[in-house]
Amino acid sequence: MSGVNAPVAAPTNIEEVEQLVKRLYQPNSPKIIQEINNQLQHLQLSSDGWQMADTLLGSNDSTVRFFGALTFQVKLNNDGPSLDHSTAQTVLTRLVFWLVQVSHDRDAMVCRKLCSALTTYFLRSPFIWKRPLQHLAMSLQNGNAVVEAPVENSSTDISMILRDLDSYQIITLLWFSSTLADEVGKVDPNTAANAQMHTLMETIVRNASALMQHAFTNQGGEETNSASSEALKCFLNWVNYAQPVWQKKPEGLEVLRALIEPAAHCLTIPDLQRHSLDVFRDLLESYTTFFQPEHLHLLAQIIDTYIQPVLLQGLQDKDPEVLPYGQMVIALGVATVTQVVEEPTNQYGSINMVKLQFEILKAPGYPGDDDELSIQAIEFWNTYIEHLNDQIFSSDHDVELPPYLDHSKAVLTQVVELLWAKMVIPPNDVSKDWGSDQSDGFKDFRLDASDLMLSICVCLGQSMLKQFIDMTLQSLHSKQWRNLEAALFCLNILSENIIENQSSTVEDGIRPIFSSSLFREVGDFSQSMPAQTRRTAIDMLGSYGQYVERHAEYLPDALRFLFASLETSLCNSAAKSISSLCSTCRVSLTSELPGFLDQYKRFLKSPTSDSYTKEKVIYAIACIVQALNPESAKVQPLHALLENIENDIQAAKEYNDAGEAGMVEVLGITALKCLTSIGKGLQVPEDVVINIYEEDEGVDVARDRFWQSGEGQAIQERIMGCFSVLQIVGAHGDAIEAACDVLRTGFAETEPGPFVLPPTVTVSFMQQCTLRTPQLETVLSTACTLITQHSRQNSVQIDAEATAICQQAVLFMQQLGNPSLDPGVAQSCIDVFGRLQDRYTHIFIDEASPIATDLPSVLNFMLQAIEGVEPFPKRAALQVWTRLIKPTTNKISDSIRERSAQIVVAYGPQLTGALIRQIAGMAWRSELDYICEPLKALVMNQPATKLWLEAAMTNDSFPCVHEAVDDAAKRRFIQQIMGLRGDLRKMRDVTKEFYAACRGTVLSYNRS
Amino acid sequence: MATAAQGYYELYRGTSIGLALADTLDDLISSRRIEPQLAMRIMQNFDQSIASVLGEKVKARMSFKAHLDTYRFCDEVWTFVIKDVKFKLDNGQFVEAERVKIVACQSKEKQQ
Repeated sequence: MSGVNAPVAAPTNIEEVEQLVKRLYQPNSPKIIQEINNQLQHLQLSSDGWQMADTLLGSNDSTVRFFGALTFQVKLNNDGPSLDHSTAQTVLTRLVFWLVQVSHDRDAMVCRKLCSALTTYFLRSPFIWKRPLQHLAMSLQNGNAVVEAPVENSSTDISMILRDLDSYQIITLLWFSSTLADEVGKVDPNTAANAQMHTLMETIVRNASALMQHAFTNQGGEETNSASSEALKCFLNWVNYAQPVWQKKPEGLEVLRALIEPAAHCLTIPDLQRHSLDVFRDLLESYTTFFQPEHLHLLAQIIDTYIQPVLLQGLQDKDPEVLPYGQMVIALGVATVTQVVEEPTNQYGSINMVKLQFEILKAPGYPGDDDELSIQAIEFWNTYIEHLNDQIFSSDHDVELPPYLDHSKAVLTQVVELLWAKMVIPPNDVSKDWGSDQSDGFKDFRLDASDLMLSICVCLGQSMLKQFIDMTLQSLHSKQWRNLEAALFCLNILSENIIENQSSTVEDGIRPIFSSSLFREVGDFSQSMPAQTRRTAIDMLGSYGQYVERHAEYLPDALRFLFASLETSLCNSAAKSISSLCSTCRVSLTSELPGFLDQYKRFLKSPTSDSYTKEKVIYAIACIVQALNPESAKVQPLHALLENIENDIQAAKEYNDAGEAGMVEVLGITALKCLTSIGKGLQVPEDVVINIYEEDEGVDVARDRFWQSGEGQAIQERIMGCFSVLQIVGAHGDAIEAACDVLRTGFAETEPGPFVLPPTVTVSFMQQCTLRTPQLETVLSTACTLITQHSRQNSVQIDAEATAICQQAVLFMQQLGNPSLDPGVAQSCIDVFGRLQDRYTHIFIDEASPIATDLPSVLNFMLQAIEGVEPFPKRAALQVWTRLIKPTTNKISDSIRERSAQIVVAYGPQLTGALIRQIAGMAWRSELDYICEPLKALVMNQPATKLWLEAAMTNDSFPCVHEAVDDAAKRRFIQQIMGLRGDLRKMRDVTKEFYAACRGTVLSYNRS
Repeated sequence: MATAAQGYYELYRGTSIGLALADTLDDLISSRRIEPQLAMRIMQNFDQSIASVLGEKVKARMSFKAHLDTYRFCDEVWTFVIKDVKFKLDNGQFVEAERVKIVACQSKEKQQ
C-alpha cells in the first residue's frame, strides 16, 4: 500500500500498468484517481492497447482482468469499424478464448464484461459474426476458442452442444445473449447500415431460444435455478428487442412466444417466483399483444393455483412482500379486461379475476400507509369501467344493451362500496404517526378513487347516488363520523353530475341529505367529531350551492353552521363555502344582509379573522350587495363594508406611528385585498338575465349617473380614499399589486358601478410611480388593460389618458436607457405602445401628438430590445414593429397611414440590420419564429427590403459566422426570402436553415 | 426500456423547456464543446425523460368543461379542438380560454 499516494508516472512495462490499474480501484484522492485514469486512457487509446488488454486478461487479479476486458471494449468502440480482416479475427478469437477461461474460473464480473466486449465486437466490427451463440457454445464445449469459419457452416444443433455445458457456462451464454439483445435494440433499424445486423438477429434468435429453453427446462438445483433466473432476464430483453423491430415479422416473434410456457413455469417455483412475477408483469403492461389467448389462460390458471394463496395470506398479514403478487394480478386483469367484462361466467377469465380484485380492495390497511395495492388496483377498475362505458355508449341507441351489463353494474356497486370503505380517514391514533408521505399517499388515493367514481357514475347514475345517500344517512344515524365523512366526500365528488341533471328524480334523491339533521349535528360544536367530517360537510355546501339556491329553505341552517364554523379551526373551509354559497344564492339572501354585516363585524374581532377569511367573507357579502336593486340600496351596506376596511387602514397607520412594520404590512395589504374582494363581489355575474323589454330606458340613464354624482360618488371617493394606505405600504410589491387589482375590478364591467372609477385614477396612480416602485410592470400592465378596455367598440375613447400613459412609459424607457437593465419593465413599456393599435395609433404616430418628439427614442429603445439578450422585451418589440409595418385593416386617417410608412422607410435599414444580425446567429433558435414576423411584413410591404437585406449582409456589423456561409450563401438566402413572399412557414424553414449554417449547428433536432 | 430506435414522441420539444434545451445545445455545438450527434442523442433522451417525468412525478390535476368543436384520431394521435373552455384547477381556481387544442398520444413507453 506504500505506493497508493505516490505521484502518477507513465508506466513503462506491463507490471507497472497492472500496478496502476490496481491503484485505480483503491481509495485515493480524486486528483490522483483522475491522473491514473488519464494515464490508463492514454494507453487504451494507443496502438499498443490491444496487446495490453490481452496481457491484462491473463492476470491473477480480477480487477486487472476486468480492466483488460474494458480496454478491448474501448478499442472496439474507437477502432472497430477500421479493423482489417485478420486483426478482427484475432481480436474475436482472443475474446472468445478469454471468455472460455474466465467462465471456467467463474469470475462473474469479468465474464459479464467480456460478454459486453463481444457484443461491442458484434456491433462495431466491419465483418459479420454470423452465429455468435453457436460459436461461443462450441468454444465453451471445446474448452478453447474454436475457429469461427467452420462454425458458420456447422450443422450441429446447438441443443446438443448445450447438453455438454455446465450451469455456469449456460449462464455465461445467457449473459451474452441478453446483452446482445439489449445493445442491438438500441441501434436504429431504419438505416441501411444497420439493417443487416437486425436481419442477422432473426437467425440468432433461434439459438437464443434453444439456450433459454434449455435453461428453463433444466431446473432443480441452486445453480440451475440461477440459470433459469438469467434466462428470464434474457427472455425479457429479447422480447423488448422484438417489440418495435419485429412488428411485421411474425416468425421471430413466434420463436419467442414458444418460450412463454416454459418461462411461465418459473412462476410455480418458489425460488423463481419473485423474479418471474416482475418479468411477466413488465411484459403484460408493456406488450400485451405478445400474449395469445392460450398464454393468458395459462397465466390465469397459474395465478389461481400458485399466486392466489400467497396473495391472500399477504394481504391479511399486511406483508409488504405481497406487492409483486398483487401487481401481477392487476396487470393480467388489465390485459384481459375485455374477457373480464364480457364473459362474466368464465371461471378463470372473469370470476376469479374479479374476486381477487375485490380481495385487494377489501384488505386491511390505509392506502399510502400500509396498503400499496389498493392504489394500483384503481388502474384495473379504471380500465374495466372505461371498457364498459365504451360498450354502452359507443353503440347506436337502437342496438340492445350488452347482456353482461346487469352483472357489471352489480360488480361496480360492490366496487363503489369497497372504495368508500378504503376512503374512510384513519382514526387519530393512526394518523398521528403519519408523515407527509403517508398523508400525501392517502390523499392521492382519494383523488384517484374520485376520478374512478366519476367514471362509474356515468354507468350507474341514479343508483350510485342513492347508494351514497343511504351510506350518509346510516353513518349519520349511527354517529360513525369517519364513515359519514367518506360518504359526504363521495357525494361532493358527484355534485357536478348531480347538479347538472336538474330532473326531479335527482332533486328528490339529494333532498334527504339537506332535510336531515346533518348540518345541525355537525354544527353542534359540543359534540366530539373529527374536524375533517365538519370540513367535508362545509365543502358540501360549496359543492351543492346551486342546489341550495334552488331550495332556499335549506339556506338558514347551512349558513348558521358556516358562520359558527368561522370562529373555529375550520375557518378557512367555512369562509370558502360562505363565499361560494353567497355568490351563487345572492338573490335569495338579500333579506339576510343586515344580519351578515353584524356577523362579519363580530367575526373581525375573532382570532381566526386573517387576510384569507376576511377576503372571502367580505366578498360573500359584496355578492349579496350586488343583488340589491335599485343602485341606491347598495349605498348603505357598501358604507358599512368600507368602514371595516378604513378601520384596518387606520389601525395600520397607528402601527406605523408606533414603528411596528410587520403589522403595518399585514393590515395595509389586507385592506387593499379586501377592497378588491368587494370589487369582485360587486361585478355583475356573467349569467345575469338581461331584460331586453325594459320599458323605461330612464332606469339605465339613472344608473349611469348614480355612481358619478351624489351618494354614488361618495362611495367612489371613499374607495379612492383607501389608496392613502399606499403612503405607508407603497414600498411593498404586494401592496402595489393589490392596488392594481382594485383598479382592475372595475375594468371588467360594462355598466357603471362603484368600482368603475374614472380612467384618470389609473393614470394618476401610474404617474406617482417611479422606476424604483416595486411591481412597476404590474402597474404598466394595468394601464395596458385600461387602454384595451377603452379600445372596444362602444367604449369611451380616452385620448388624453392614453397620451398621459404613453408619456409616462416614455419617461420610464428614457430613465431605463437599456432594456436589459429591467426586462420586465422594458417589456411592459413596449407593450403600452403595442396596445395603442388601432384606436390610438395617432398618439404614437401623429406629428402633432405630445409624444412626437419622443418617437425616435421609443423606436431606438425597441431596436435595442430586438438586439438584446432578454427574450420578453425582444418579443414585445418585434410585435410592435410588425404592427407598425403591416398596414392596418381598421379605419385610420390617410395622414396617419402615410406617416407610418415614412417611419418604416426611415427605420427600415436599421430594423433589417437588427433582424439579420439575429438570424445570423445572435438570437436563440427559439426566437426565430418571432423574428420572421416583422421580416415577412417588410418583404410584403416595403419594396426596398431587398436592398436593406443586401446592405445588412455586407455591413461591418454582420456577425462573424461559420466559414461555410460565404457571400453566395448570403445571396441565396436573400433570394429565397424575397421569393417566398407571404409564405410564413417556408420563410421560417429558410431562416432556420440559414441560422444553423451561420452558427455551425444542426439544422433540426427532429428525426424526421 | 424503449430506446432511440423505438422512438418517443417529439411533441415536448416545442415546450419552453424543450426550446431552452435546443438553444443550449446550439450554443454547445457552436462553441465546439459537443458534437452534433451527441446533441441529437441528448434531445432523444429529453423526449424519453420528459415523458416519464410528466407521467410519474406530476401530481397536479385539473378538470375542464367545454364545447367539443372538432375531433380526429389519426396515426394513433387524438386531436380535440374545444371552445369556451373553463378549467378548474387543483386549488379551485378557474381559468378560461376561448379555444384550446388537445393533442393526446399513447402514453405507454413502448407502443404496441
